[in-house]
Amino acid sequence: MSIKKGQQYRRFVSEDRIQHWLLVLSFSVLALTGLVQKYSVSFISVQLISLLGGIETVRIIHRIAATLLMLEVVFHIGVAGYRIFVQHVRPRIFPNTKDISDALKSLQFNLGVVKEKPQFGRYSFEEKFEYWAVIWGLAIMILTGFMLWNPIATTQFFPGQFIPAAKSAHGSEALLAVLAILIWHLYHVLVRHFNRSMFTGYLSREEMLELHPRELAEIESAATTPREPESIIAKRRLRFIPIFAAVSSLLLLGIFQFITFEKTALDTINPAIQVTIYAPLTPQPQPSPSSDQTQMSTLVAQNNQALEMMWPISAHTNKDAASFRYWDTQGRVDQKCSKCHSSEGLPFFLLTGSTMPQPLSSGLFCTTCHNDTSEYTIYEINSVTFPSGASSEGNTDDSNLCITCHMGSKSGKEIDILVAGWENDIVDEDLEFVDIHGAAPGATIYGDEAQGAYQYAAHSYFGLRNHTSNFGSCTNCHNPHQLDVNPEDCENCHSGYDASQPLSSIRFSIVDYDGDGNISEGIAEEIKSLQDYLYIALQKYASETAGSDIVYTSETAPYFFVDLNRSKVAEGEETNLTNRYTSWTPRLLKAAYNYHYTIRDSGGFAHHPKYIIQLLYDSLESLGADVGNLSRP
Amino acid sequence: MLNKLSAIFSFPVSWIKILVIALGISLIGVDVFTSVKPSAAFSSEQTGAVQAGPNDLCLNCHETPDTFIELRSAERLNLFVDSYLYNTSVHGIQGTTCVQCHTNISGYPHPDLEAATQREFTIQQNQACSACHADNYQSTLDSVHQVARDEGNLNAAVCSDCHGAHDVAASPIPRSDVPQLCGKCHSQIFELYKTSVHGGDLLDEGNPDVPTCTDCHGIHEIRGPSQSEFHLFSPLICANCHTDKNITDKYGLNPYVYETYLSDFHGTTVTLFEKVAPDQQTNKPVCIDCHGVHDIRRTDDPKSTVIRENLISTCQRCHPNAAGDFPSAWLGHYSPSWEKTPVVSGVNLFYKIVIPATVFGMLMFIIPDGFRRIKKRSSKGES
Repeated sequence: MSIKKGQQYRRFVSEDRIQHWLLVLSFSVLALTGLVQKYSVSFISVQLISLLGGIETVRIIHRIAATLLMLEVVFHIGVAGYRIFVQHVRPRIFPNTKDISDALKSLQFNLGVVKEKPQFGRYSFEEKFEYWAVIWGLAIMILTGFMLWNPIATTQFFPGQFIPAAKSAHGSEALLAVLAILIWHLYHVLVRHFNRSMFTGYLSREEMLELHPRELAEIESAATTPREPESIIAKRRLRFIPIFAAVSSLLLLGIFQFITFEKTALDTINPAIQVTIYAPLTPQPQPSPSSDQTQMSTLVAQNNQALEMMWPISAHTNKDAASFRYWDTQGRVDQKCSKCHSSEGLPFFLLTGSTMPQPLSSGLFCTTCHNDTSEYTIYEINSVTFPSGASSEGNTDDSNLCITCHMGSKSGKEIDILVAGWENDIVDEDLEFVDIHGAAPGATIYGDEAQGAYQYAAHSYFGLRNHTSNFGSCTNCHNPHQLDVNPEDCENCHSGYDASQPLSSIRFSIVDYDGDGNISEGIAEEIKSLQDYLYIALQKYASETAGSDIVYTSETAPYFFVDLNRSKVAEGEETNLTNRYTSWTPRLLKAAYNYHYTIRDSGGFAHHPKYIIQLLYDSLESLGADVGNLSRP
Repeated sequence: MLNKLSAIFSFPVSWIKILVIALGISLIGVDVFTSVKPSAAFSSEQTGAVQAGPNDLCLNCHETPDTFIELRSAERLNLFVDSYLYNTSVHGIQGTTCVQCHTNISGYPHPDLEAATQREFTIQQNQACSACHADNYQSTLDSVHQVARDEGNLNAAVCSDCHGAHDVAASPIPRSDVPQLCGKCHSQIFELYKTSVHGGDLLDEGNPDVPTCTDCHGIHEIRGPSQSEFHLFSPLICANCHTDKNITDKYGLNPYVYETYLSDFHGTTVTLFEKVAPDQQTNKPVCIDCHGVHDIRRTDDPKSTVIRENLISTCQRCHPNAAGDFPSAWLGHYSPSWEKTPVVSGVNLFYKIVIPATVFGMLMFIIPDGFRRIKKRSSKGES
């Protein structure tokens, strides 16, 4: 190892320079990754942390650099130990009293108090301060670093507050070290004079004179000092190596312990809560009638009360009638029935042209017919379409409102469609009785125009009945609310009739339709007779042609039943639905339809008597009854 | 069909009915208007018959209790609508008509239901709200509920689950009603919340200072821990109140809890995550990780997770090996003091002296040296 090389004096051998630059590396990394943690909220720190890949990465880098630094400590101990114990180099780094006087002298010299500057040896007081500051700093940083790295282990032996204390010390010491490097070290090696020795390993003679004059003097005076024999050094080396191996092993083990001493925290993310997030109280809530339903039923009761005050009892307000009660079990009125069997159905139909299920009614409301309850006007309807498809166009009186419901739900034409192509007298078990459904006075009045009844093709029928212009509409005769007819209205025209007599006694015609020779009885009586004849003819035809006795009742649907006991009267179990008449021939069905039609329209004698008689006559004739005594209008 | 509807609008059926009833009632001399359902009052006095009409049309059928339609899943959808509830709802009062929400209904028969289950129907119907409440609806699209639903969890709440369907109340509802509302689906959380210092005060005393569900989770854009940034940013939610001296003074609370949290390891990390990687999760705890989430208690409550006796087990949730005096390593939201933490204060004081002293010492050598050299160089230049 040559101390002098030409005019260059060796200052640092390569081990020194390696140590230095490794220290530079680890220190810089530690300082950078440490200070950004210490001053984490500052803008620069956030940018740097972001650049380095986040705080967790920064911490890993910091710990890697710390490990490197600790390994350097071991290396340094090895190099220093080798020099001291093997090479027997006198350690000149330890401070002594001359350093204090040098420092004072230096201060005085700089201030111009003394003219002579202090003469430094191998290491100036500045360099010794530097070195021991690093040693001190390392000790503090390693100690507090261990505490921060292993807080659980630390708090086994020390109070918990040692951790924040260690954190504070670690950060403050770091700041101090960085300041020392920036101020002290960089000034001395860069600013004051650019010292290349850490790069080249050498200083020039001038530099030596300036910085280390005593060492220069020593080198020059001791140039001939004989070196110790190699054998002695080898002997010492032999002793040193195992000792250092043991020491360094212990140190390395310590470092390993340092970095793996404890598992401080879980790496996983602990969920903050451990409860079931979705835990519904009840199954999906369903809409249900609220407690205000009671309030609503009170309201319904009040409605009814009010209605009774306003409305006389009539078929329209008979809340007990089957026409309103039939749907009670299902809770609302079916769509197809709602038009005429609920208070809201008719206005809904009139407004929308369609029907929909309606709430149960206990009769009609004022608003069922009146579209305005200040003037009490009723819905104006330009025309009514009958089940046959015909319409009442041209008639704009208020009858249309009544006819909307009072026109039956079937037409005779439907039967023709139903039995089209069938033999008139062949029983078909698939045939069922066709019911006009209720009274169809609206259809009756329109006669041939409405074709509500079954009209035989061979005959022609009366059309619209004009019961004089004064009594042309429903409400001319019928009281719109009570629905009854005031007999006194009839007296004016029907001479000989007085209001004490039943309406059925009225007649104008002098034709004896029923062939009983009595032309003073009411036209209703003529009709009654024809109905009786038709009933007989139906029964006769049924037993002879259809092969099954038939019996009729107007009380129970479907009205025609099998006459089990041949009593000609529907009674007892005969009116069970299962006993309904099923041996229909087309001919029988048509006549039965008409029979039921005329029975249902009990006012038929006034609505359109001649049309009724035509129907009965033609039905009788069709069934092959003797119509010789009868007259067809 | 539109023509038909317009026809309805011009015929105030229900209005007539009401008048008739009223007339009848006055005839029998009984003042029953106090018990007449509000629908009548509203339709005649406030909204007019024009709007009440079409609703009545619908209610003709839909007010029949226990009316069901069977869906494809064999579930039964209850078609009943309580007109009393509807008419007292904010929509009923304002005169919103049925078809404004049930936009696919324009007459009878109605179009077939596409939904196979009740829940599907509810979710489909949810769209309707967006027509009038576009902003709030838009907000919900970022909510945890929407995310959960997108992931296939149909139970996640839609508008009507919170607001009701036909009985929507005017917003805002009282703060103290919010927990019950959320508790309909989050009952376990509600049970926890009730026991907490916040929930207890809200539900028992109606204290306006404590948070209800929506104060932390938001209202329509409901946030939750399933979103990583929620956990990360949650300290800011707590800080809203816990750094507000008006509130902390009122209850004798430490207003520096956030500050001290941030300056410590956990808070620093969380803050850095917030700033650098808000989309990432950190396992460092936020307020709720130590204090509890919905069951936050007073710090002197024996059941508190952060009372000294329980603190070690709270630490052990993340530091399973924690033992000894480990919990004291955290100064408990207090700045170091000589009384409580003399070692920390000692260290702080030490460096408070040593750092400036060292720097001063170094400069004492460097500055005169520098001056001397400058002087020497300039004097050399002169000579």
